[in-house]
Order: sequence, then structure tokens, then C-alpha cells
Amino acid sequence: MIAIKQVSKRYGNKEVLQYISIQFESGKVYGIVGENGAGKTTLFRCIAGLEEYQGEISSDLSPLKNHLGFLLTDPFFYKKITGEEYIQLLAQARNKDIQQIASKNIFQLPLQQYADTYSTGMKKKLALTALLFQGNQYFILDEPYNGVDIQSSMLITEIIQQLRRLNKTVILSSHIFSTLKDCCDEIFVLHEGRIQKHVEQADFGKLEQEMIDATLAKHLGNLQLE
Amino acid sequence: MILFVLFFGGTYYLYQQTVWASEIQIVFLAALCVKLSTKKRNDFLKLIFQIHPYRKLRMLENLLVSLPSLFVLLIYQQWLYFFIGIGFSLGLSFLSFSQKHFRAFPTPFSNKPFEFTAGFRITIFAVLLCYLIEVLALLVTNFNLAAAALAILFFCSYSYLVIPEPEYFIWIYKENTVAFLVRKWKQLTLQVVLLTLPAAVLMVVSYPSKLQEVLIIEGIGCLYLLVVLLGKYASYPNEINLPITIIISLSFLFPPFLLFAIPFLYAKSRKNISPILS
Repeated sequence: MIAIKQVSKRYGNKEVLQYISIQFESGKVYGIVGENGAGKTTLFRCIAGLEEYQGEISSDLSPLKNHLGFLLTDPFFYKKITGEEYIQLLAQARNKDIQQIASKNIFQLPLQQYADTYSTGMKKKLALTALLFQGNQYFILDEPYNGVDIQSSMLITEIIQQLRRLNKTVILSSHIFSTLKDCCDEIFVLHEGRIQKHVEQADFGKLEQEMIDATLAKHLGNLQLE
Repeated sequence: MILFVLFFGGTYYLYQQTVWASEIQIVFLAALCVKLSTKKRNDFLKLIFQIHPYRKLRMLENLLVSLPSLFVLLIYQQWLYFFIGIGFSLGLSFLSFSQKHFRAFPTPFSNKPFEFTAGFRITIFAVLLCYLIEVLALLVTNFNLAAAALAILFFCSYSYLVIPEPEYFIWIYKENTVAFLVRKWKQLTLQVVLLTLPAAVLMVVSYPSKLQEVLIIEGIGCLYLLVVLLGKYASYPNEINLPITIIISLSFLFPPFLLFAIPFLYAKSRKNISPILS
């Protein structure tokens, strides 16, 4: 369980997060949606402890960061480090001695190749694979489907569901609503740094329709394509 | 200016010490040209320029980076090597090397991947050149040149620590700041010893009576590795800045200054890393 109480964050005069309070339970998958700049990544960085904030973030396993796998929106890879070495690096950082990486290469990545030469989707898959070797209890997956092919997307969805079955807490953001519908138990809509809506699984269809009405119809109407 | 002095000074010394100096110039020239031949870079240039201007540009680039070596070969009247150098330079302008389908270059540091794994691969030509100079120096019974090559290997390894890693690569560690720094230091010391061991062993085998000197170079090299490591985190998240560079330089010029430098850099490193690890 991760509990966020009254968390606020500001960059200069700009309030990026305003009094966010959410409780993420074990064995559940949570989606965070919002427009670009709504504060999703900042919220994730606050949870990970990579940003200072006002308010309180606690978890049943402490310190939270030592049990958290954080998939960044745009994972960074050192030059001249292979996929296998990257996995080793992340596992060693959490004192995990891993064997037979190749047999657990679920995305069939070319692990002997330098990771910085991978495509966007391959980088995302490698970063996710490395997190799975760490044995974390909590996962934050920031845009895990970014640039990923259809087969791998299905695999990622299955992995997330397996993590739920293993009683892990998964928090993810995605701009593809169908993936959130397939994975999540609850969705939080973040708008201008505030939780605008909290939606349970039964109402996902309604939320999708609302988003289509509020965003697409309005903006496309203004576009006046000929 | 520093590079100019280092290159021509080093070249002069090389020609004084070994008969292989011209061959070393050719290897150096080819290594520089290969650096410009990466597929990604060349694909980008092809997108911008049409084929003829692209070819001209690549030839010009290769000739420009080869110019210092060609100039040296000309001065020493090494005509054959001069033309071989021009041939290499122009020939390599027609090639581009993709890293994508190459298997990674194996390193002895891959079981603890990070700075040394990446750095060794990036500086492989410089490392091999140091080993070559080491062997040549011992063949011509020049202990001082061999010691210089060993010292350059240490400096090469210090360059692996110049670029700071993104905070994520510190954040992932499940340990406190002190444990993080101590583990880094131990790991890097083992790796630098491994990198310099072939050269050190060759020196001891060739000059058994100079064991003490070799051990002193190794010890000093490892000590300054600690200083550079602490300097890196004392400037974190930025690259090593001017005040820290001055402190590191002073400790090189005046070793007793280490008594001040190490505790100071350690305290600054702790301060910079603690918020990420705690």
C-alpha cells in the first residue's frame, strides 16, 4: 500500500501538484490519466522520492524507494552498455543476483547489442524487463506502451495482470485509453495538478465517452478541416 | 593548445624511443577516421547533403583529422607511411560502420557494468595504444616510458568518471550514501587494477628490482581514482566544475593537499547524493 496525503509541488510560481490524496492498495492496478503537463510524471517522481514536495507519502514497506520499480517515460541508456549489462546493473543495485538472463528474455530483445542503439519501443521493453528482475513490491510505469509493437503491448498487459495476481501495487500512465481499460482497477484523472475524477472499473466506458466528448469533439470542431 | 603540445611532444618522444613510431601514427590516424565513420553520423550527413558534396565533406573531414599525423610523417620524411596515411584517410571516408548489428566488445568489467564497461569500450584504441607503448618501451629497455604509459592508463580510467550519470542510476541503489560511495570506490579500484595489471606485470617481469616503484605508481593511481570519484559526486548533478577541478589539480601538484581535498570532496559528495538515496 502507498498512501499519498495532501501532496503539493511547485516549480517557482507554478503549482504543478495541488493537495493530491490517493491510496494505492496492494494487488491493484491504478491508472493515472491527464493531458500533457497535467502533473503525472511529477507525481510519479514525488512518489519515487526524486522530487521534494509538501505533504506526506508513506508505504507499508519502508523506505518506499527500495521496493519501487520505476519505469521512466524516456529511459536513459549509457553508451556502450549492452541490454544484458543494463539488466545486471539494475538487478545488482537491488542486491539481486540474477542467472540465465537470456532464458527470461520475454521480449526477445538482442541483449548482446548496445542498448543505446535500440529503438524507442525496445528501450522501453528492456527497461521494463530490468525492473522485473529487481523483485519490487511497487511499480510505477510511466507510459509503458510508448513506441511498443502490438504483440509486446499485449505482453505488457499480461505482465501487469500477473503483477496484480502476485499482490503487487502497479501505478501506470498511458495515453492509450484501451490499454488502461484492459489493465486497471481504478483510474484517476489528473487535471492541472489536481485529481479531477476517480473512476472505478465499471465506469471506464463512461469516462472514455466523457473524454471523447470533452476533448475530441470540441477541438476537432475548432479545426474546421476542409 | 594543451592537445597540440601533448600530441607533438608525445610524438617527438615516441620517435626518440621507438622505431615503431610511424606505425603508431598510422594507427592513431586510422582510429580518428573510424570515429568519424559511424553509420548514424554518416546517415545524418547523407540526409543533409547530396552525394557529391557529402563525399567531398567526408574526405575533407578525414584529411583534417589526419593532418597532424601526416604533418609528423612529412617532417620525419616517412614518405611511404605518409602516402599510406593519405590512403587510409581517403579510403575510410567511403566506409561507415554500424554498431547496431555488431556484438558488443567483450570487457573484463561486464560483471559489474557501468563506468569501466562503457569507458573501456569508448577508449579501447587509447588503451591498446598504451599497452603497445608499454611493450615497446620495455623492448627498448626504457623504464620511464613504460611508467608513463602506465600512468596514462590511469588517466584514461579517470576520464570514465567525468560524465555524471542521471540521478536514476543513483536512485536505484538500495543503500545509504556512505555505503554507495564505499562500494563505488572498492569496485572502481578493483577495475582500475584489472585494467593496469597487464602493464604493471610486464614492468615487474622486465624489471624485478623496480617492483617497489610499480607498486607506488599503482597505489598513487588508485588514490587519485578516489579523488576523481569524489570530485565527480562533489559536483553532482553537474559535470566536474571549475572549483573542484582546481582542488583535484592542486592535489595532483601538491600531494599533501590530499589531506584537505579528500575530506572536503567526501563531505560535498555526501551532501549531493544523500537527497537521492535517502
